[in-house]
Amino acid sequence: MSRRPLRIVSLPLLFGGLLASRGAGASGLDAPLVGSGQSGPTISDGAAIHWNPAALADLDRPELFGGAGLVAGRVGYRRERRGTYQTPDSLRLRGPMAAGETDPGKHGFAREVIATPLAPTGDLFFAWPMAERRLVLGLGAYVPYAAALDFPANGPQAWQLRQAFIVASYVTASAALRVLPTLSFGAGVSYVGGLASLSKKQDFAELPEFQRAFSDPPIGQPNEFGPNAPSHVRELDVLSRPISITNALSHGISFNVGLLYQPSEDVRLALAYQHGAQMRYRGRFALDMNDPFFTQDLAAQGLRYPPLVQGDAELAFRLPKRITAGASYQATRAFRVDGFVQYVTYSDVDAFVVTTRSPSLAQPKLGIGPSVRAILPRTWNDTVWVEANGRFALSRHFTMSATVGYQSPASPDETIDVGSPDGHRLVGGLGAVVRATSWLDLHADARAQGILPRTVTTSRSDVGNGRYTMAIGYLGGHAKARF
Amino acid sequence: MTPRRCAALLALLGAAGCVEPVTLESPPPEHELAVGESRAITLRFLRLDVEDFAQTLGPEELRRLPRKTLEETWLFDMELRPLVENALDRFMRLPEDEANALPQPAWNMFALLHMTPASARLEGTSLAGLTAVGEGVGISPSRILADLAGVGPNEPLAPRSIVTDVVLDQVIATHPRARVRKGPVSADHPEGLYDVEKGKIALTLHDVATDFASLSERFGRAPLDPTRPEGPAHPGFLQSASGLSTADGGFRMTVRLDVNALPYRGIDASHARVASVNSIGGQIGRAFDFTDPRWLEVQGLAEDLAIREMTMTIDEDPAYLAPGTRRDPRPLGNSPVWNAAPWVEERVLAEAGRRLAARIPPHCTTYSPAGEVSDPFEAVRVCIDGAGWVQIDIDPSVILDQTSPRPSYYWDMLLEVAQARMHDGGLAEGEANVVMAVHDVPVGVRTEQVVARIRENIEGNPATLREIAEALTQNTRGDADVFYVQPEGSAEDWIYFVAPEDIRKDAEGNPVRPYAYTRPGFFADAALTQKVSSRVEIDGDAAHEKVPIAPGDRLYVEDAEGRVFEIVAEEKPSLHRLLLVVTRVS
Repeated sequence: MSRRPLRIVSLPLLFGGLLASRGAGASGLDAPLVGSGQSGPTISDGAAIHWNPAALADLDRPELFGGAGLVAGRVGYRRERRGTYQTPDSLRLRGPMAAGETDPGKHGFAREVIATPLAPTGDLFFAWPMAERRLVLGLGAYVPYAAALDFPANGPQAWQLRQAFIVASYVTASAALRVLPTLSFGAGVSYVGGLASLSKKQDFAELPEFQRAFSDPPIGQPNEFGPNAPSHVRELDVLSRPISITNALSHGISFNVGLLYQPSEDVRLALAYQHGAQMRYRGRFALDMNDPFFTQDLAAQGLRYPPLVQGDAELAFRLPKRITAGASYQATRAFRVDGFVQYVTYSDVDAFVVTTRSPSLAQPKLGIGPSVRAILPRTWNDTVWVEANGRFALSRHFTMSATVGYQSPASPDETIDVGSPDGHRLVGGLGAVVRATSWLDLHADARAQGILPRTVTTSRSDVGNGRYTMAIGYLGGHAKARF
Repeated sequence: MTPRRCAALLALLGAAGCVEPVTLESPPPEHELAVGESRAITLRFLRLDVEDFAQTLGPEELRRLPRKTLEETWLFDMELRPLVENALDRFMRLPEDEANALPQPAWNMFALLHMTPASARLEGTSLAGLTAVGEGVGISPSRILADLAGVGPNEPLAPRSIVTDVVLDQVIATHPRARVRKGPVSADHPEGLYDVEKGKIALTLHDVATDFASLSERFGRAPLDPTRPEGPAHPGFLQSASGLSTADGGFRMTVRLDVNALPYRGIDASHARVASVNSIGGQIGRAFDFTDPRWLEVQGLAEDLAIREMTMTIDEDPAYLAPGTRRDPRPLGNSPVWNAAPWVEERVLAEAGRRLAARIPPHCTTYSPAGEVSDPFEAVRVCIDGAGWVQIDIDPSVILDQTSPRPSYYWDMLLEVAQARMHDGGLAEGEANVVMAVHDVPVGVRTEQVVARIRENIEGNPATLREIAEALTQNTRGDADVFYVQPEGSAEDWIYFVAPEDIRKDAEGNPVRPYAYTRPGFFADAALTQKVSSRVEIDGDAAHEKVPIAPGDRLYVEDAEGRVFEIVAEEKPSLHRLLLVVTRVS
């Protein structure tokens, strides 16, 4: 039997795009489990609604399967500034910088910033066999993604992320059909709902609109602003504006399909496909422009924001697709091993597209309209996730399990940041199942995952260079009732 | 989800991590400091050095500049002779249908300007006697008039050039605002008034900004003595004017600056709050690169400048001004028209007549009856002498139904005829004001000349340059008493005391408060006896009292209301910031 902790690197990273320029995701802060530690693509329990709907076909009694857990973690980032930075209380539009204009203190490693996320997660599944074990219907609600990050407001990571709170939930209706004694087919349709809030310092130096506003008349000054702005025009006090996006809600549709093939009593082979989803997160943004530079100094040239700009924000992106191949082998009556390989098309996520709308955003004289669309390149890579689980039944009433796994990183060094502390991730877990009664099983699981400390030196524009560490733990329990 | 609900949810679930929406920090207190009260203020010195900072002003932007600045930005003196000549010419050449559509007063003037000896209608005047002569002896009165005036029977009695001269001299040159223009106050022009050459009117940026509508305001009714608005007034000569001919895109003026475009941050000491002081003035000496002809560019003017619409007016005197009947008092005679204001219509006509008479050589012309007469005799003798006195003698043997014309000055004859014709159509006295509307009147100045003059005149006027440059940035906010400066290329901290030119200006370009500082500068003691600041020149500025400041320094200043404040410099928050503690001492 295998279990498949959802790879939270996906969704939280996506939320990075909520902000116009920088990622604010929280890679790795997913709910490490959907279902219990015993769930997976080859396992026939209620959580198969998520893992592989074909496995529902093996259920011969109605089943209610639910539980809750707590995710806790530690995300560390020690930023290393490798570029040259202007003194932050200056405003030179382009280099080269004279010696007195740069900040020698802004070089090398900064103090480490740490976030200790703590978030709940839970799920509930119900499966109902019909038509003499040939057809099983299922309905599940689960929270595969939950993240809560709280970094120091003015830490060296503040231009990447200050705070994030992200929850995503699926409600899936499934059906499984045994087409042959050894072959089952299943499919499900999911409503994907999400909620996100986050905040950061928005560096206006990296906004293309700002670049154009300064290079075109009436200001007409050559500058190095824009998405590829060099470090020496970044992170200036006057251009670093606090922004928050709150109550961003998303509504999407997805589906999954699966096959389960049992060539023998001891072997199961599974193949599942989870489709992506077009997501649109709509919320409110608030942008602190309360600096005279933005509110009055260049008003004659058309730069005149209200002190606080508020409006609607929308993030649009496509969730990646996942193909999972799993296998299990019942080696002895007491010992079984499960495993799977999952291929995730994170390359679907090449950029985040963020649209903010507010009449207060408009600076007509500078060519900035009430709707600003920003594209944040991500250029992620497809990833591979492999995991194996062994379980041993100590008695008829008590089973122990252990899990090991590996996930390859999605974020390349060029685009990684503290919002997506991604890396080569190792997964481990322990679980236990107690058969309390003939109709009730109790599951307990502990799971841990972490990335190998990752040192990045080639981040785009020196935004995300530094050393990333991350460790996530999960502790939870489930109950499975069969009627 | 509100943070509170979010927190409640997470608390319920045993988690934490809500995101707080961005809100503004509470503004610092800004109430007036009480004696002994202190407040800390952080000032930032931020440079935004811009080069070729091209600021384009169209009419709309120009209109937002302070009116005072616009009015004092002289562009050129427009020669009015071609303008008036063109106006008269176009008026006289109106197509028949347009002429027929003219209001009665304008039509009367149209007819008057076209009056020739042949078309002259003399009824209702003493010259009607000439008609009787013609009937009696068969001599055409038009011939008599033509001979008298020295023109052909079909030539206008009043050539356009003469009328133009008289209008320029009598109507335009007498307007109080035509004689001078506004400009910057200087030693040579302590009242800020500059002479305008006769025959010209000064055009300013304000005229361009208002699409020349300001001309009618300026050259409309105006008191002869500006200090006595209720006193005698000139009725004006422009009822309306609009529209300088422009090319696509309309008029635009672009200036280029090399400056720090951001204002200085300062302190309004009485309230211990941050204010901003426009920084352009202190940089004006090096803001413009006059060696680069692109420093000021004018676009959008048509090649042949013209005013699209202009309506000139000449008012008549409300009373009938009878023509003179005697030679004395010489040289003009006894008509009351010579006591009328020079700009009234009757006076203009009389003066035109006087100038015409001056061109007529003294002569006598005799006329005999038409047909074969065996013993020729001189039935009529018409003489004009060198003073313009006209004597018409008719042989007693000629029997007339009317009295023969009495002797008079030539201008009195014309004035009588003109006044009669001005009121044709039943117009009463005072209703015959002349209104001449013309369109597309060439200005008579080439566009490149205009552009050159704009550049030359603005370049030669540093005060206007400063006003324009400051108006282009318009970033003085609040009422600072002192402000923070770091000299160019250094991180030294200096604190400046405001100078008169730093006072915030209103939309009209006038200071919003007087410069009432009795002891500007910085002092080492609260009694203000030991001055520590000076007007040492920094970056070309020698207008401000200034002093370097470092952590631990303690300075005293007096504001415009005579209150004394202590300013103490604390440790610097950053390289380009100052932390000052302001305490009201008295």
